[in-house]
Amino acid sequence: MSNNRKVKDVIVKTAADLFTPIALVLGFYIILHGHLSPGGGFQGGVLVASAVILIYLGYGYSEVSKRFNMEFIKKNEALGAILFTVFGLAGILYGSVFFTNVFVGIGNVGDLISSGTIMFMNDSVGYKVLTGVGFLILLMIGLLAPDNEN
Amino acid sequence: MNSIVILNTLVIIGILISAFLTVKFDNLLSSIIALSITGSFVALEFMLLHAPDVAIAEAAVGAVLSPVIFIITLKKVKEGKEE
Repeated sequence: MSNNRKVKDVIVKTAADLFTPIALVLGFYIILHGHLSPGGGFQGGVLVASAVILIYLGYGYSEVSKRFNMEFIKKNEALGAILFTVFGLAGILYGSVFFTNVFVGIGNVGDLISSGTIMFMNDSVGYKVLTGVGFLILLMIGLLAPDNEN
Repeated sequence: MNSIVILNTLVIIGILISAFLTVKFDNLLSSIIALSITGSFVALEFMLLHAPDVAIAEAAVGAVLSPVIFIITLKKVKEGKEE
């Protein structure tokens, strides 16, 4: 973390280019297959959000602040919580109580779409964690912004 | 002795050494790096104890997220001291 670094390090930039897609794909895989394989919404969301750190290490704060809209991310965090509650309320509409699993009979056991609303609740938790932790990291990086090179 | 037991013992010794170094280092940056190594070893131990779910969470949070936040905080605190 050298203070006034004008030229970006080639090795760090190449490593960030290489590992950002891997972190994104692995994170989204863990979110989508949360009901089938180890991991779930939280783990995948944190993995996706850690891609922001990689982009910051490779390209600096100027590029990160150009790519991400903080207000949009803040609003989308609330959207994740609302979606989770809506999928919980679907149990009252179709079944009996809050969080009842509906649409159960679709698909074979082990398929991606076989678990009713569990998968969508997992996805909404993943969306909330992704945006929340991403916003936290952007906020922490923004603290360092004025004494960066730009 | 079983090979799994030996591997577990080695990982636990690694956890103990890195956790001891975390407390013992005078330089705070070295301490944060040792904390990150502790998180990696704990994630490996969770993996050996057949808890991959917790291992992913520990590897993401304990080895990546909290050291980064600590390093940013440390840098900010040092800048405040210089002024």
